[in-house]
Amino acid sequence: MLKKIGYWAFLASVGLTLLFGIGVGLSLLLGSNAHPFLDGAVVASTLGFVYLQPLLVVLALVTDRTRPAKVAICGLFFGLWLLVIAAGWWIVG
Amino acid sequence: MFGKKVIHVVDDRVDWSAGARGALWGPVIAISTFGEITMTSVNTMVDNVKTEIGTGRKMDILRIADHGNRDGLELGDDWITAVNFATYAPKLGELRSYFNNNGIAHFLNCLVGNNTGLLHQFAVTWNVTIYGGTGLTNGFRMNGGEWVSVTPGGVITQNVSWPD
Repeated sequence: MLKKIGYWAFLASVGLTLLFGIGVGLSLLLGSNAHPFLDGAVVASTLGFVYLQPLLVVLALVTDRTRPAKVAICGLFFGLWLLVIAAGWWIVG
Repeated sequence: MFGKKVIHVVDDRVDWSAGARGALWGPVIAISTFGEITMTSVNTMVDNVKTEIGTGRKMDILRIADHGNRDGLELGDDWITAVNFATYAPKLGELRSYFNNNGIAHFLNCLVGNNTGLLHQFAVTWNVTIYGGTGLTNGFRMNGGEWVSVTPGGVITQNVSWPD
């Protein structure tokens, strides 16, 4: 059961990272309000990434650390999250 | 019955003239805001806000995100100070009737809370209370100083909470 939760948490963190990355990329290319759907998806993925990503990564790691590749990807995602949070603090208007 | 009508206006362009720390602030705010209106100047800000509101409900909060310092604030490519405010006042004044009773305007621009004279000019022009921060505003919209409010009557209140 725990492994199953970890599996879904890992998948969710992969999906969230992809959504966030694609959303930010499209927003920078097209403008964040180019389309209401893009605007909503980017806001949702950004909030999800900022608030949920560390929980998902920790959950995935706590429940299953048997595969080194998965552990490495989780470490990468956590590093990316730290980078985004640090950038959010550092960037000013 | 309805929540407050909040209009977000952002200059969402990458701005390298604001330095490394400021260049991506506009895009970051735009990306994390739903339904924002973009601007590239005072004219486009005013026109885009008027178009957004149209004949619908008036604004309770106008929240503006662009760069600023102790001398002035940016609205797109226009840099507004207490000295040149009169140049932009006629165009800015077109928004006066688009605010609700007890409406407010909230500048996220860095450091403008130190310039209460400029904020007062906005307050008089729009006949609403204006909010600005005394410190730098980061990507999470947190201000390193405090929020200050200025009423059209010139009452200045320090250390007010985030207006919403």
